[in-house]
Amino acid sequence: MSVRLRRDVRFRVVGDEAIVIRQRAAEVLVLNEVGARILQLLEVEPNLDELVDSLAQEFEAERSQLQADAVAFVAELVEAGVLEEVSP
Amino acid sequence: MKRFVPRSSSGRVERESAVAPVWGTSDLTLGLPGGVFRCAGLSESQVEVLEPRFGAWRVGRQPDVHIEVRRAPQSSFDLRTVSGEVSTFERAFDADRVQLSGFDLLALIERESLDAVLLTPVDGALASSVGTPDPRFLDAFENLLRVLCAYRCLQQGGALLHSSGVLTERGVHLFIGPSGAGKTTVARLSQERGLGVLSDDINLVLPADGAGSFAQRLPFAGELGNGLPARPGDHGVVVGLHRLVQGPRHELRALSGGSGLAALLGSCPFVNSDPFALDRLIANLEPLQDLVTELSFRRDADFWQLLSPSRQEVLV
Repeated sequence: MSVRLRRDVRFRVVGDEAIVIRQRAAEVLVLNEVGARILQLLEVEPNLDELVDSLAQEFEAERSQLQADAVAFVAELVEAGVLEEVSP
Repeated sequence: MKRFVPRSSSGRVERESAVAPVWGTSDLTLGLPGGVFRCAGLSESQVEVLEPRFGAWRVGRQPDVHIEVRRAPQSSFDLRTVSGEVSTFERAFDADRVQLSGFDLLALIERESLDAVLLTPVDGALASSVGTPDPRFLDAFENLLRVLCAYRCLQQGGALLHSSGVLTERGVHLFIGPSGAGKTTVARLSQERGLGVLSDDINLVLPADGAGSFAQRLPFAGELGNGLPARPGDHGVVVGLHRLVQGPRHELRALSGGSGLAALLGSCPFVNSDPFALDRLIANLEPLQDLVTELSFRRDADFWQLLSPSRQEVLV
């Protein structure tokens, strides 16, 4: 599965966090450090398997746990209108 | 919906009187914080409608921004309403222009010069403004002017904040938050304590010479609006920016830079939904983000005890 930012969404890293602006909905979200990193990685590599590979190199956690948390977080962002799925 | 001004060749909106004639030959020049706006093409009765709200802001200076008011058939206007409010309007953006469309207005704004054409309907709701002043023309004009002020302020390194602004001896405290968070309540409670209120709806924030920012009054107000005297010069250095939340007791909490910036971005009407303006808006707001705190308050004026300089240094 691959995902990307929706066209009306912008994000900016501020300190350890990221702010995510959904312009069409006039909504602003704040992501913590890990959430910010996930968005940064997804900009470069939209594939979720490769995202998890990258996260595994940066964070101390079981891969299975990383995968479950990353997939759940991405699903949350899709639900929130921040990300959208793209065809491979 | 029909497009009403087809092109611009020189950065200024073309005057195509055959397409959309002006209402009259009167004009009004307003000196607002951030710039001088000249509105031409008004009928005498339209000037009468605008005078009570904007008369105190009239100046004789050269304009920075030109607005031309024209009339167009009712069929040109979007008759849909959003949430039953006829004043609501939609926006469309491209790299050169911003377009507003709603029940009472169509407007096209040149992004760089901010020169604008405002069209109001000749048949239907506002037809009477040719002879008899129609107060709804005021809404259409004010909506455009709010948007123009937001963009003008953006060009000057500042932002228009949906906020209550209260003037104290130390400077201005701005209270932000979504509708219902308590902005008007804060303004009312502050007014009852003898403090000056800039606006309970929209305040302009511009960078000050040297360091910091100052907040300035605009001729726009919310529920308290008509009770506030028009005092064009009211302004002060911004000493506090507070995101309002209601709670069982008064409490002031620090916010992270990201949360502060997010709160500010959510409080910048019009431009925060413009993809061509976002980078500049963020750059303008970043110097303010560390000023933002969260103020939990219970709808009485005791919250002011938390905003004294000594108390603000000890945040929850």
